Amino acid sequence: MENGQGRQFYEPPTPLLALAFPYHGGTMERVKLWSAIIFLVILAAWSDVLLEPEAGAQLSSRAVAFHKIGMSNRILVDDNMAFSSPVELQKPFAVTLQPGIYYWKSSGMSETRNFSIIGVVSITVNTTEDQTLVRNTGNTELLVEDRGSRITGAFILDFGKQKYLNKTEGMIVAKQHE
Amino acid sequence: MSKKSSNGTRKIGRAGAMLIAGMLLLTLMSMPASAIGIAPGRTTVNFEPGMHQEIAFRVENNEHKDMKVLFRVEGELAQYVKLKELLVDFSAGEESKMFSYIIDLPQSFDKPGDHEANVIAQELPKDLKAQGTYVGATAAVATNLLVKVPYPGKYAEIRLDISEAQVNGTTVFIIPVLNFGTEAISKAKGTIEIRGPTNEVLATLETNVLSIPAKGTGELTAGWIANVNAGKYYAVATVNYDGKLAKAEKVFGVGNLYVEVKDIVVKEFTLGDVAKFNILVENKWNEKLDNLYAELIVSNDKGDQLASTKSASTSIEALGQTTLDVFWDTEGVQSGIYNTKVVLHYGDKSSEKQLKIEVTLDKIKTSFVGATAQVVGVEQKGILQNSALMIAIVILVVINLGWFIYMRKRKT
Repeated sequence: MENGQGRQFYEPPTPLLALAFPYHGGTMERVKLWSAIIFLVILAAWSDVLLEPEAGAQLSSRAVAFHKIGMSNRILVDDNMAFSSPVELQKPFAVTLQPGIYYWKSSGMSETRNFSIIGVVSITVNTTEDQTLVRNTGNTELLVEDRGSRITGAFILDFGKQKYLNKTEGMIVAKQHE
Repeated sequence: MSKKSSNGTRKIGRAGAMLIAGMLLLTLMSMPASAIGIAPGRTTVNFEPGMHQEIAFRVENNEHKDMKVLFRVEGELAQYVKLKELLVDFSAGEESKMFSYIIDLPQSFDKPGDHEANVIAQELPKDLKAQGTYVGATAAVATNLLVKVPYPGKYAEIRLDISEAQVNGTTVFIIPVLNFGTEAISKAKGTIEIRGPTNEVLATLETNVLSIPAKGTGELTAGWIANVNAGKYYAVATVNYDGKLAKAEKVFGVGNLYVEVKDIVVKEFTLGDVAKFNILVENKWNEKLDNLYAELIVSNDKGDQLASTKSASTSIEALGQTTLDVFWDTEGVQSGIYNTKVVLHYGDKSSEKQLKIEVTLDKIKTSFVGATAQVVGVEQKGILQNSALMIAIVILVVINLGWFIYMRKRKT
């Protein structure tokens, strides 16, 4: 770089740019720098970037799809951070889970993220002339209480299922079962 | 004539069906429908004396309609739960709304364990006030508050989860240990006893050892190579935590319910007569199966089905063998080679075997064809990817070394 006062060495702003200036720095420094770069390249090749679900995500659907960038071909999902009994997923990285808190990471080098599936208690009640149809429209097994004017009963209704009741009035109360 | 009347009936039938469908649709549309959702279904908190906490929940207007929602609290802890709102309005455009309740817990509970309250959200028709009465059942949903009061000293509860495997695969036993005590568990270790159909002990496994802090959880695991026959087995898990015991039991399966065709023989045959196929089958499952029958499907080389015939139903003992007889009338059948399929039906499952039969004037020769293929590609892909990575690492290391040597030589 000319500044009108003769030729001077240019000080590169970062060590990385030193590579572009072969006369700058000693041999060992350059070797160290190269080693560091190669190490970083290996690290980058080995590690995965987790995309979805995001850390701390709260999901309503039991069907969870995982997305990541990286070389590893498996994703580990567990309900404990120690991953003592993980579910190993291969492509497509998707699984159906019960409501709860889960942790996930890639089988390569990656961070560990958590997400939760929130139990949604949801019902639809349709009354005809002589029957009532109760449908579980949530994502969890329900304990359904049939609170009639005289008798109160209860039954378990799995998610996605429905049941006819021989009644046309009263209140149907749904709670998360277990 | 009969055809015409049949067509006429069909037309009336179709029209009738459409009418009924229309009426059903109208009935459904006019049916009083009530729909509501709430999340989370449960909120669990560990008890602390005098605990004060606000807990949020979401109410969902699933049918996107105008409605009123009435809140109330039920259960043992109802007196400690305060609702911020009792009656709220939803408009059709509101898919969901967030609400909250406040808990003010006492300094202590008489009994340890689970204590709970339910916040009930009941859907009320928007025009309830105008109508005065409402015909039809109403829907209500609950969000549960579960307060876990620790047990004095050491107290753990366990569960037994089993990851089932195929025959000769590894069955994994997982025991989540939940420390509901006030004290930490310094050493928890599990023993799993695996029992067969006659309750005989087949294996005893030991898990890893864990220490679990108070109110904490841990997982004990053990693996078992299931070198047994396919079928149902029974596992009993016992966890010893600092001298105390917790127990859990579970039935689990190894492999799949499967009946195999072992051999097919046709004796004393004359072309044009009825051929009797003796199909020898073996039950690979460790339980007796009922309603087992075989279906024989014969096709020509163009794939046209020539015959389909079934055996009588029978039972087969656990891991036993039996013979099923299937009869095929060969009247009009030419001598030659035919593609044949034997399908075994049992329970809600079926298994099949392909064979070729050579029909001559006085003999039917059978020979099995094909083999079972398994998907193994995914595993290989993983190995390939890892190999590529390893090659890349080796290349980079070599470059680095080369650079290092070059620079040293240049310096000297």
